[in-house]
Amino acid sequence: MTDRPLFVPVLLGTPRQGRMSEHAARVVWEEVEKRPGVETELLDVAALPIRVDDAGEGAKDPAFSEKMNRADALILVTPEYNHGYAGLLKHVLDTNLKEYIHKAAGIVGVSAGVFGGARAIENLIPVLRELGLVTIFWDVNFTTVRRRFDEDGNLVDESFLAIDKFLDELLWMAKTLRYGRENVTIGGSS
Amino acid sequence: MTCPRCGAQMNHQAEKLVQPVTADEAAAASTALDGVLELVFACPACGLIDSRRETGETQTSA
Repeated sequence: MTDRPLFVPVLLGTPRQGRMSEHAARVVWEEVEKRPGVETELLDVAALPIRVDDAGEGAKDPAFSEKMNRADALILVTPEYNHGYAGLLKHVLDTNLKEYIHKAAGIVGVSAGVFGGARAIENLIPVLRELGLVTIFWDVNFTTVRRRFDEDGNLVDESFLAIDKFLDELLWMAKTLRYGRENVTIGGSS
Repeated sequence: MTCPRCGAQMNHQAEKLVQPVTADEAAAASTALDGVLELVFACPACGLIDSRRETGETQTSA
């Protein structure tokens, strides 16, 4: 089995000004960085030069696609806007396909209320499935997010975040799926 | 498929049904599947993902 480090980027999924999800994404990214054998990068949909008047191959950003190609797992940080995820996150995800297939995906939900983005997460799961990503059964929910961080964006309440459990499961899935992608042939007996 | 980056033999790891977007893709779509099959490969040596459509068209890497 290959000894290449896992690559697990964190994608901040909203471009809105004043987004609290930025703080959440940074906290998760810092936790991923602590894991041995894992490389990560914090990506921001607001910083991607992806045109919004085209789709698929026509809208691909080569640098973003290269990162998705290299990724073994993807962490999506999504706020909940009117019970859904941000529109730009969907558009960005839709610019790739083969890059995602049989790779692990974990979702971090962020909301001002007590559900911690749970409804946005539930809406996002069938989209990820169609993109070929494999979702895990742990989420991270930043509930009542404005109470979680101080004015400088420092996390002041870590209760019930379960980031360690989330990352344990995501990295297990990432390793397992990498083995499958590289060694198990579809329709074969190996 | 041979890995375009390192030359190793790639593993055929998935077949994904893709809905046609362009007129050419629609013309090439299988009526039985209502879409085009994308054959996806992974390189066990360097990890690169690549694919080609069942029609024979190669989808170049990012």
